[in-house]
Amino acid sequence: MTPLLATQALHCSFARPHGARVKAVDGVDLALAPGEALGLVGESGCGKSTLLRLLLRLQAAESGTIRFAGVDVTRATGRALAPLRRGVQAVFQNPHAALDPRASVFAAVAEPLRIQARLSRRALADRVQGLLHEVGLPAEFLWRYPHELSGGQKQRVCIARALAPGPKALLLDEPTSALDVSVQAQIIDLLAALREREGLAFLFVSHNLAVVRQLCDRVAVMNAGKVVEQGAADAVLAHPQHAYTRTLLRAVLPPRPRSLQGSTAPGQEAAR
Amino acid sequence: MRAAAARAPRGRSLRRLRFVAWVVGRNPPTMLGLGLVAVFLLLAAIGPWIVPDARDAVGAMHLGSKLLPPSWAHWFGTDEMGDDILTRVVLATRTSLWVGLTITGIAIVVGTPLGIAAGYFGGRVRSVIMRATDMFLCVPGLVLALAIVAALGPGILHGVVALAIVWWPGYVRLIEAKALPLRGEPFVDAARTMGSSDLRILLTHILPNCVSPLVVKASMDMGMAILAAASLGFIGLGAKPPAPEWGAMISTARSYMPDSWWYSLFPGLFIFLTVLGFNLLGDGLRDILDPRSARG
Repeated sequence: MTPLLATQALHCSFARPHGARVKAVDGVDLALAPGEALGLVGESGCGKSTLLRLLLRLQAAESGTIRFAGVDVTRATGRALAPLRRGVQAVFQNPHAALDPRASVFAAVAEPLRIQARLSRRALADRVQGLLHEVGLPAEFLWRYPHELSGGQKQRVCIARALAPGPKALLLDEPTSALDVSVQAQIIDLLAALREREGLAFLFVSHNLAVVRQLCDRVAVMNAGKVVEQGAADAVLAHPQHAYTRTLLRAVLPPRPRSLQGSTAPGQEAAR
Repeated sequence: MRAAAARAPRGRSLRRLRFVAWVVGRNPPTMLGLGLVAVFLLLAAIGPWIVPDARDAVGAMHLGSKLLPPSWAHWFGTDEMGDDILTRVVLATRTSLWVGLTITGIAIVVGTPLGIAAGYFGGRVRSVIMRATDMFLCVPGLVLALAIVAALGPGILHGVVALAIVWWPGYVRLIEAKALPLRGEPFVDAARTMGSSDLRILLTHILPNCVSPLVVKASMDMGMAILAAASLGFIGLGAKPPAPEWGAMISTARSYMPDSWWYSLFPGLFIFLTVLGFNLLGDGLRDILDPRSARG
């Protein structure tokens, strides 16, 4: 099967003040199958977020290719980029900055629809309300502004906005790390439910290995711009092959909360 | 459900209005500013119908009543032509309003697009725009006005053109500084991942987030532009006599100081109160336009 989103030998580097260059993404080969949840883990600064920005075409890759549904979109512009813009959406780390402070919830969620779909006013209003309902926000939130929402509510709005174009894949950049622990669990549950309902593929960047284990089928471990190990989530996290993965796993503080134990069995996350 | 959604914005705007009234109400300086600006606008609108004799503004002469001090017949006294100073001062508000609006308007229309483009695109676009802006910032407004008037002949329009040329760089600077950090905001990235064009991002995200400093500066600049226009009038580059203009009136009145103090006092007072009004209003708008202050 053609992967939904795939990279080949992707490179990207940044200039340092003294002329040296940091290889943020250094030859990454990664494939996301339709409907699959792939976890991307690694320490801060290992290139996870840059990889996501490259995949979203927010940043230009130096070399290598990005394919969406088999089509090279590495340097696509305009109309050639439209399938990627429809098919791949992102949820960012900090929901407080991901919403325009001057735009109401309605305006935020309607924005991708206004850009990508020609809907009548009535159809637009219905669709936006449907999306809010899907992420568990009541209709009275429509005309609120971001500063009137909690972090969790903002992230729900961001998720609704990302779902609006009807994407096939969501790229999630640590979507819960800016939230309270109790809210994190709610967002994770919401994401798991959405994935099951819509058959979405996830590329899930996280520091939280327990969440990755719970939500993802496969996991890729990144270190210094390279993917050092990838495979089935259970296998990689239970029997790491690469030295760096072992270090990363050791860095997790035991003991794990009881509520998360047992969530590693395959299929169980779908039942939640 | 849909009906509720469609109704909601109206309830909000009403609440918003009440919030604005509340902010203004508990802030006396803003109220004073709003009041002064309202009186100024009212005088500009209905001036010709409320003054004692509108002909005094177009060169009527009453040589029998030259330089009379304030009295019941002439509240603000009369000038060297025997014209009623109240009449002339009130009718000059229109000129000042026109001058203020034109200068500020041209500055906003020219400066804002350049500012958001410089801040949003960065790189070479920004360098070119900002260096050109710096160049225009170096031009002294009154000297340029003198040159333009010398070349094109006197008239308030030429003075306004000169001031507009030196006024817009301030807006570029302000808006660029405001737009620059916005381009890295995640909500701009989010708009890009939706396939939003640069123009759309500029209009729906960058510009709205720059509006509040813009409105505040515009309000204060109304005052500054009126003051600048009065300066032009004072050095003889403003309205052609006998058309009334505050700066020109003070300039003429100088020769009758200090005996006919009322001649320069009242035009000066009008300049002072108008500029004060726009400045106080600008300060108040700063509070009102901050979205985080809107609890409505």
